[in-house]
Amino acid sequence: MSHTPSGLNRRQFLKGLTMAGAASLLPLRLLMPYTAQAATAFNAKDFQVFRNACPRNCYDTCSIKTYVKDGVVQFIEGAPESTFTAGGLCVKGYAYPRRVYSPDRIKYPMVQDGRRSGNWRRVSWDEAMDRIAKKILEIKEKDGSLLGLGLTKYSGNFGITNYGVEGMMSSLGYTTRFVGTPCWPAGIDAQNYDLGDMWCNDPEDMVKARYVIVWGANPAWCSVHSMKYIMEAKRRGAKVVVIDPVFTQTAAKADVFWQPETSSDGALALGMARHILDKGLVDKGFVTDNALGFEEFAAYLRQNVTVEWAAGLSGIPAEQIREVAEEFATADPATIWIGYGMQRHTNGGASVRAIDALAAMTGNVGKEGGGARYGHLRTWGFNYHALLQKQPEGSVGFVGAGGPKGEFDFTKGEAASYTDRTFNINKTAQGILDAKDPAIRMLWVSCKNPFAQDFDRPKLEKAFDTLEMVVTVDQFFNETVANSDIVLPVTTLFEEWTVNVSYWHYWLGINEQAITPMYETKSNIEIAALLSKKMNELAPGSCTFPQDIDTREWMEKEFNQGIYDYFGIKHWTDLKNGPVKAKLASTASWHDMKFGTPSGKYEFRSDLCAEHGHEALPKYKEGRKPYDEFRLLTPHSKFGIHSQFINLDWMHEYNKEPFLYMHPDDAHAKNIKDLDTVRVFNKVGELRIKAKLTRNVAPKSLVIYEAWFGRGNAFNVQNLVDDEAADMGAYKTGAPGVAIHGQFANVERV
Amino acid sequence: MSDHTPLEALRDFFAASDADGLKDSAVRIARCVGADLPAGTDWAAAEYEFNRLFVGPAAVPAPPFASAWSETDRTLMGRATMEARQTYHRLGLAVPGEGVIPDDHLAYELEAVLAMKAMLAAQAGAPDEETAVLHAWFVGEHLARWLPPFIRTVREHATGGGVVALAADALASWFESERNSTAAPRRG
Amino acid sequence: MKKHYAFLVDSEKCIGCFTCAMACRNYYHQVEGVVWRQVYPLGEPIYPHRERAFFSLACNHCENPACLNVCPVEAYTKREEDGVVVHHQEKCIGCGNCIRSCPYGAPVYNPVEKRAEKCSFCHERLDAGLLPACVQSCPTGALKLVDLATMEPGNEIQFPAGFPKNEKVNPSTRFIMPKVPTLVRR
Repeated sequence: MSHTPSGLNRRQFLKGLTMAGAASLLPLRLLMPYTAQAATAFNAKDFQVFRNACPRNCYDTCSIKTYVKDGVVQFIEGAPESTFTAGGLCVKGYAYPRRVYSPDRIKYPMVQDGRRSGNWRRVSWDEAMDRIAKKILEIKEKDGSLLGLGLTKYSGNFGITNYGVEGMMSSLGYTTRFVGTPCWPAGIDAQNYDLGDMWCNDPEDMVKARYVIVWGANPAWCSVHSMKYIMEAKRRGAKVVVIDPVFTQTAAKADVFWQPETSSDGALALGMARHILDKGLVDKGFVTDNALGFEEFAAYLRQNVTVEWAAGLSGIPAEQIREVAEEFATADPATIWIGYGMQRHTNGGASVRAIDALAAMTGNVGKEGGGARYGHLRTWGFNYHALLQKQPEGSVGFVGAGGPKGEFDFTKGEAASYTDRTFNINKTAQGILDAKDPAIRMLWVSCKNPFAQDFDRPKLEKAFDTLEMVVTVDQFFNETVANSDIVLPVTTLFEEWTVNVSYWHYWLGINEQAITPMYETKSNIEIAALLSKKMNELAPGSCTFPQDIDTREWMEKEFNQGIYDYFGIKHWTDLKNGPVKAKLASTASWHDMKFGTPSGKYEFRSDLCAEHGHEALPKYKEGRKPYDEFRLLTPHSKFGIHSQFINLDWMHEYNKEPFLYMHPDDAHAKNIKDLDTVRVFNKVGELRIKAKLTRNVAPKSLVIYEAWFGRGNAFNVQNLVDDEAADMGAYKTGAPGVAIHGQFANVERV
Repeated sequence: MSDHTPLEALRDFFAASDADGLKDSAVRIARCVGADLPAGTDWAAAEYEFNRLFVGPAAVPAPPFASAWSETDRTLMGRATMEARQTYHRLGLAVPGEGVIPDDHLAYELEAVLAMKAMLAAQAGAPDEETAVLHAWFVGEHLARWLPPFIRTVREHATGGGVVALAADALASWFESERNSTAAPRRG
Repeated sequence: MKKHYAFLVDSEKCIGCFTCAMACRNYYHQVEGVVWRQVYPLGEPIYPHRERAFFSLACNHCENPACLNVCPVEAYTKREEDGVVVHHQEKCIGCGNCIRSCPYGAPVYNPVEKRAEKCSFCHERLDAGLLPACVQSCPTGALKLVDLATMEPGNEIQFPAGFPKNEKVNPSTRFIMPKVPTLVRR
């Protein structure tokens, strides 16, 4: 099929009919719908071009150009204006048209008669809202508050106006919120203790690094656009070291790959630090003028850390540790990319602090091409108009301390005496089971798929059993929808206006509505408006969310002068010409050496950290003790973003089924051959899967990439992962993180 | 339609959005084809089955859109959809809110046939070649490409003797007779 | 000056992300089971780490194309100006000769339209001054469009291990082989 105007032959033929009459009728078979047309040169004028932005939870947040003809998205590509996106998307992004036009897309509001029965009925939006509103009012009546209404939402859609879901909850009253983040909280806290904020360099400046350590991150799968900067640094002579318990795709592109014991990263970093100290390679200027507590840290290293000790714990030979430490300390600038996987451990925050210390003590903080890179929120200074809604007069809520509701909580703290009641999103199942006075009666799920992404799936099932009503907003029928009472069909990125930024690069992109929303889909804020209308019909004043909204207007309301100045644009309409990059004074974070810590300096010794129940210094903290024979890692697949994309048949073309990856020696010991079906099991549950044998994986570890394959495939890694907490996360994100990679299991042939 | 074809009732059946709509149209289908509705039909169950096969929210085995069968990457809003749209335009018709529901939904396509038949009937004295050719093409080429595999799949998944199976059978026999009775275009 | 367009597959830069494969599918919407560009993991005898090195392959736009030579209806032409081998879908009768003859499996059978099809180098994009969809999409520049007529020979090879050596058809695709890092394991 070509992109020349389709049906051209047919139109001419039919016109010919009326003009020439019956005599010139050609045999009907020329009208066969599938006569291929000869391709002629591509002409962009045949299309309407729109600007979109990928709203997924991904470093790269691509800017997209969308080509529409006859009101249909024909194909998309990456925006060429962004040097980061550079004209190309990824295997997931290019599958977007399939999401819009899949016959399996959720099209209408539907009600399930009997949860998990599979018996679904169509209802009108009015009826759906009526049921939901009446339930909300019933909760208010029974409990005297709306604390029985809970929200679980996370990163399924990062378009800024989608914070209107939280806004919708606020506009109803004080509710129960699952707060925190499964993603990166321990590291965020760690960077906040050390530097006073999570703020990374512009990733495009990695080309200037003379030494790059990628520590527990796999950008070759999870940030494909970043790889070109690492490769360019390498081309210019930088040495690239990848540290990971798995020989990842990124590791295959390194100069040196270290495969340490999982969760021993803190020890490894401290070992390197000790050697740097011994060799006199510390940046004295930085630790004296711009840091606090280095002498105490140095004393700790001398008393407690040796390279041999680090080698013993990590498995990396002492002379390697010394070599890389010296190289890192003498390269100028040197940088470390700290991955989110690295901190998904009971000691994750402590490990990040140790790695931050490496970058700091060598004077690499505040340097272009340097730094301890983790993420940033510098480009997120929107108004959060959709998010910031007021509770109705007289709302009753939770009395008690209110903390941040997550790393993206841009509310500035609540002055009211009531607050929302919060539970740790990483212990959703436990939270639902534990909540009382009142219990959580009703759950609203949006931009999240708890059954695929929350931990301890068997416990989650039990928790859902206690809920009186579950409403899920989604695009495809995943397991969470199967466990709901009402499903509401939501728009794709092409069907709403919003605006998007990244937590890694510094570009801003508009997301235009390219096509009319299909079927009866609505965006999250349109759903909120509809709910508000119904609530106020039934009980005037019960919901403050505006009842008539336009997604374009609401997108406009997010912009402010601060954003305009930061990006150097006059108006958001400038973004119709393509994405724009922030006008950075320097590509380096902390270039002004004004840290956000209490002392205003880099804190090797953070008293705040100690106050919060951790160590003041970045001391070694042991990881989780094994409770089963093998380590279990469930990292991200290149073919999906959590439970999105892998279910699409376009993706099945290249990724048909899940696999367990294990070491051949372990397989041999268990009489498992390549592609045998095996059973992986532990105290949480079990799953059946085919095994692939490879030395990419360390001995005594099992690697299974998390995914949702759709179409009734029951594969779900959450049958093996429990909700053990990470050490940090409560400070800046409202709840501790979770040790997703601090898991253990066993395996046997089936 | 005075010729007792179940075409209108079939259109209404596939356009139904609830049990009432299904019941109303199924009763009319049964009457047209001279069949009996299964005694004590559970209309709620019929609705669940209808949604499981055609609507969702789970993946549907029998999406009622031409392009889901004509282009075997099962995509919607494909070439077959645009053909249907152009056909409607030729008849001076269009799907309201074009693009929101794909033009090639079975209900729309059946209604288009209704329109063409009505036009042809009205032209009885002076038949318009274009309408006849369009009708012949739409039935003999466009519908012929997807209705048979669609009906086959519906029969595989529908409860034997149930309401959906009845509609599938009625659709199949109507289509066969429509195809047979559609005249080939005259020449010269 | 006549061009000789070819794909340069730099397997050292390639991260096996499948972006090129999906970009092709995004642009052309091939039917299920029909794949014009596939990304093949190199076997462990060639690259010693499983699923860590890849060849992204479509059509090799050969000098002496087997497909063109066996086509009974001239549904293949090799463009004078740049050597691109175009499959003219409107002429194809689905006889299957090309599918059986190509040593690289580039033409594949489309069971819906009952004819062959293959990568035609996005020639309609080339004629509009654009890159092929796959080349434009590659995030690391591993897949490139090169002109063999003017390219300075560097470290590209024509027949790497893992790629069938068929000198008769003389494929135009060129490859750069991947490296292996120093591995330090616990």
